[in-house]
Amino acid sequence: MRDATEPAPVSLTVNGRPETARVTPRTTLADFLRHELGLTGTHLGCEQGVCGACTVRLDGRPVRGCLTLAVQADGATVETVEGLAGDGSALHPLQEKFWRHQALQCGFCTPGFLIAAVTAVEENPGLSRDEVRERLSGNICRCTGYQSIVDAVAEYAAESREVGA
Amino acid sequence: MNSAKKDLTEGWVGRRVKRVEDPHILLGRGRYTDDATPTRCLHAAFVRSPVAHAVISALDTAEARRATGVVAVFTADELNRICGSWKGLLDWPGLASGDQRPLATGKVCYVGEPVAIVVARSRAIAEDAAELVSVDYTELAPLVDPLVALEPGSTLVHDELGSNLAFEATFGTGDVAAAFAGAAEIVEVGLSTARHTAVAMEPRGAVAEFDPASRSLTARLSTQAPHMLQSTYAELLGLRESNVRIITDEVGGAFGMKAHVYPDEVATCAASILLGRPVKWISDRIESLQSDTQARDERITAAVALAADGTILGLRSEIDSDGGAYSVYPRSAVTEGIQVATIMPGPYRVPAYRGHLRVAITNKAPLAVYRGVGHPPAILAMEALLDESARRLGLDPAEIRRRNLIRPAELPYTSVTGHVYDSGSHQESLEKLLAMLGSPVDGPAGSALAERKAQARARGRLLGVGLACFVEVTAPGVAFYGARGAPITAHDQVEIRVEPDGSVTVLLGTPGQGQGLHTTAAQVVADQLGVPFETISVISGDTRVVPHGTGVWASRSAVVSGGAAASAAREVRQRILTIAGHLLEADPADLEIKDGSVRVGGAPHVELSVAEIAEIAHWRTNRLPPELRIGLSVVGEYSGPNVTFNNGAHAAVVEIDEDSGLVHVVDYLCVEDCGVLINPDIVDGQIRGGVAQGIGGALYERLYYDETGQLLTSTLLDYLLPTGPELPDLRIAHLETPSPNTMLGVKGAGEAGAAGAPAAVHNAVNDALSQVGARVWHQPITPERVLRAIDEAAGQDWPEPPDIPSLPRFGSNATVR
Repeated sequence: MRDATEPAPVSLTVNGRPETARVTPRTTLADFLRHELGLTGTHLGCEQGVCGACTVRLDGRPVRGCLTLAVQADGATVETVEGLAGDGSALHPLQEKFWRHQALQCGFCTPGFLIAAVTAVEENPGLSRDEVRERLSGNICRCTGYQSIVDAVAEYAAESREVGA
Repeated sequence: MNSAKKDLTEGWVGRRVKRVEDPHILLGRGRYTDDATPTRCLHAAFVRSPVAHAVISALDTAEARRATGVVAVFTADELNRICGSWKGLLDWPGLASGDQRPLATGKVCYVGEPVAIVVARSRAIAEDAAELVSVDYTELAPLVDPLVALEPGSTLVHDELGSNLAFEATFGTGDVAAAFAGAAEIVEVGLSTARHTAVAMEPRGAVAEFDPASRSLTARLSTQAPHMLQSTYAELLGLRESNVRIITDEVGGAFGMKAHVYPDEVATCAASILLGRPVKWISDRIESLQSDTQARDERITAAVALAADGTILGLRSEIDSDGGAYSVYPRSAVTEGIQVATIMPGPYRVPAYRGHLRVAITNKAPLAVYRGVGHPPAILAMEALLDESARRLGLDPAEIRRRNLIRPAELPYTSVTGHVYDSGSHQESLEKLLAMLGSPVDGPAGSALAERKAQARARGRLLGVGLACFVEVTAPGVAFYGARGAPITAHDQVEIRVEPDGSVTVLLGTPGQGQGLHTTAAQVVADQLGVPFETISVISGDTRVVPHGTGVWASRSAVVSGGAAASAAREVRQRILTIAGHLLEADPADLEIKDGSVRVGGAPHVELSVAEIAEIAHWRTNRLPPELRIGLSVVGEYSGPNVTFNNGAHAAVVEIDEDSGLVHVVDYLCVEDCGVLINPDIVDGQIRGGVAQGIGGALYERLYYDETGQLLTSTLLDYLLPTGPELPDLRIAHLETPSPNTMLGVKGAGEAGAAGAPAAVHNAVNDALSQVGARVWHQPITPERVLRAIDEAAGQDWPEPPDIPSLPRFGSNATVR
């Protein structure tokens, strides 16, 4: 058994780029992304898996960055908020909707909402407003009262349906 | 005026402009406290008290200091040598507090109080080593109930004070005894709001960098008041104020909770000074729930004296406020209680009032200001009294309010506690709300509502509607704090620079806390200066760069920062016009600036762009006479009003599941009048967020301290916050009654949602429960409290003691000294 302080090698793909590093086994994926790779868009709100601010995608599925160890992501593909829009400065269509509907205020929870919502709409573009609320109930926002987030995601889902149809 | 129709106006003020703050946050490029890590940075973790009240009988850090990767462990012994003590003593007569220091000195007074700071190569190492610090606690009797704390002979939280009474005062005027003696009806309620907290999604933290060569400290903090901390840190740490630089970029939520001097943040700075290296500390959520300032711990007994027609003759209240262990610097532990006492009469004509307040010192985390500061309990008490009165007198809840709300002809109105309402729409906002609610304004009371209630009943649900009318303190002047000795003024400065290419930089003395202040300020500057919104960049939050500002609190920034921005813009505009007058050989009085161009009135073909003028003013000064004031950089200032009150009305519709006791908010309406709207989307966002927090307080949020003073709700699994499915879509409407006392006619808006929502929801619940003869009086309105009330109303008593706090009683609260 490896000692908790003994670094282990990890190789993974983050936002389309290959990354390799040596991390202590207890390093969380969120800490690895933030402090080793400098991807500080993934935020830590509770470090306990409740608030959802640290949500990232691991092989396409949303996970809590604070409850996932970096070594668990070895060989995997990780997507963070920084990867949503691609390399340019333009916003991802869902980010555009968030901007248009003022679906953020302080913005600390926003990266987690974006990742969770992109995944939810990918899985089911037919989400109703109530379903959007339910699907995003694992993410806490303290500023907006959620209404504008639901507006943004529902509109994005509707447009995704049109594109898909 | 319905703001939905107001998308396009002549100017930028009033438009639903997308926020300038958002794109970089959306892209993951926001910079919150933990997002910056200086070279050679060390990381801190705190040893915090696991007990509520104890003497520290032994403290051994040797093993922790020996751990690999640990650089230092400091206790009060080390930090007190370089850091002074503080306490939040505003100049209120008799206000008392124990001394606070960065680390507990001699004893601990609440669970979570920092005892030692461990500094190491990494946060994980520091946290591991914190567990190696050995502390022996000799426990003392914990004081958890404020009424018990105030009893004679109670154990003292701070021996040197000789009492657990932090503050006592009586507010109001008029002959209350006569009012009650002559009343046709007297209605009394006893109720409480639970201690809860802001839960900003970004935890507090500090990144401190001390440069021993210049004895200068740079501290990156998540704070609402950088300049206040600059002054305070300089004083506490013995540094020159010009050598203390506070930086705050994005603030991940604050809500009043990040407007204070915190022991752990000061300790992080002190550690950096002692080590000569950068030190970072970021709170985890347990630390946040234990040590962020808490709020709303209020117990109220209130009574209203009424004429037979429902006219209010007089009002009395007894308020016991649980101030926690220390009076927070600089806003104190008593501001909330004072606001409860003085806001209670609200938008109503109350000819006589006496509110008696006591603030107790207990073994809980310090109580301070949180969005709405005292308004939610005060409005709850008043609105609950009105609903009980309406039931007693057989009046419609809207009608009893209508009969007592201030009328337009009575404005400006001085309340019975001395608050001046400069303007408002107190009657109109209620009528508008009722129209939105769909109930007949003048028709028979509740006819449509009775039908809805019957339909809900058939589904096993009790439906209720609750109203709440309110006024809210916004943009208070220096009398609030500064005149009482705190480093808090009402005066703000904003610098505006027109760059040589004509683009505009706005430097705000006051930072945002996530509400969109940069956007708001840019809209004001665009109009006042006459330049396109898109050419404006806004900067805030670096005390080395921006002019002085007193911070973002008490719904003041749109009013006062907006005013200061307008003041600077007007001066810059005048300078541009003067330069243009010279270049165009025209009288500046005949010139106007619009969309970034200067035009001569009556000669539309003559045009000079702001960019051309700025280029000349910076680099072609040879074209201008030497006596001209051509510097296009101006600091504007504005002190704001003494105070300006916004007003409005809320309505909540709830359905209570009779089997589970769960309360569902199924509709929520709000009419808000905050004067001139700068950006209706931003104001709507403030209302929605405030209402969400208010619903949280009414139904879910409670910091639960057990009888030993242990905080049981120390994770977000135990401390319940509303998530999406718990909240309805809000229906919001605006009225715009400009303040005659503010520069732009703007009143603050940030707290009104939080102020009114707990009362509206609570009244809706009791309206629903009154169908079965039940009521609840204590927040949060948990399913257990609801079911118990329903059972007890049906004559089925529960064997367990009720989960309710003790309440103050009229006339029995002798001062304990």
